[in-house]
Amino acid sequence: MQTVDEAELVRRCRQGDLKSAEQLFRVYHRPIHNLVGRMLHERGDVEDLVQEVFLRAFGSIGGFREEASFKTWLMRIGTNTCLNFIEKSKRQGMDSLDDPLDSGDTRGDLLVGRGSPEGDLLADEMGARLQEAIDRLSPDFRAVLVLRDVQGLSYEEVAQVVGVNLGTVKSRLARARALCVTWMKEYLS
Amino acid sequence: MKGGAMERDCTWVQERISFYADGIVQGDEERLLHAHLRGCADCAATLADLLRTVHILEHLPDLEPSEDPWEAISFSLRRSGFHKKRLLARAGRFAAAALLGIAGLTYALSAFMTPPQADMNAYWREHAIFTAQGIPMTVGANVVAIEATYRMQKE
Repeated sequence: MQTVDEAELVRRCRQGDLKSAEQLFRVYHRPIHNLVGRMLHERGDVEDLVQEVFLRAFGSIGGFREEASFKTWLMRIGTNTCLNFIEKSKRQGMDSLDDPLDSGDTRGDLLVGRGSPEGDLLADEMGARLQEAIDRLSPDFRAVLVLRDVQGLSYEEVAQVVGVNLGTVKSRLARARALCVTWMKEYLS
Repeated sequence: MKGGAMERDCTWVQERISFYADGIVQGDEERLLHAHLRGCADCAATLADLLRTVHILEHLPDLEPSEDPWEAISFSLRRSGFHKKRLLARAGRFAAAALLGIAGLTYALSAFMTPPQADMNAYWREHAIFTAQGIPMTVGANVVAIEATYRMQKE
């Protein structure tokens, strides 16, 4: 079977080809789910927001000008969807999204897929604590940290996704990391 | 950390330590940071903590989706008429092809109905007589010219 490259899938998707849309969805479902999950983490229906991201993306794919990669463009929609959700939730007073979660919250989804043998327990615990640290960051800092350190985007890609200049990305990332290190101190030592 | 004029204080280092960890500091700045970190236990410890934190972040397990939302997404896309773009695109392509076909046919017919320029010249040469001035004339004009010539001869 011939492999269709991403640009061709995007072109076909623009013409309303649902099969191409599904292929793009299969490639980016997990990264987008991770992005939304790490950004919101138990503060919203992640699955609903993931659907919203893809519906927005496919609904506005005609506006994708290929100045950035499709991945970067999709990540931008994902990040903006999360930030909008956080902002909207704050306005509606549904949840204080800048407050840390209660320590009693379950972190089961962080550990999904892991057998949790004894040797992994410490790593699991560190991961759970680090997610709590991510949750405590302001949404802008959280977005930059998740995109760069969790999703593995380059500084330039993060700048494109977030829509700020490179210097702002660097300073936000440095601040976000420093805060995480401070909050993680007792677990790191 | 105590040091000479070229050395930087811990605040200066802490502001750049994240960039140092990512390897995006170069030149003198990198040398100064490196020198400071070799001699300052506090900043070296901060760097170690930072590197460890970033390492954990990079290796956080993937969050597993609890469901496959494609069915719901494709349903919504269909309902919004997403797939109709394809039908519209096909209709557009068909209309463009039809227009091109009609234009081509019209051009071919007009070319067939009208003799080419070279043939037109031959046509005029065949059907024209030349007046005293050598101007080619049409058959209809020739009759007028012949009649005029006769009249002149009679006079």
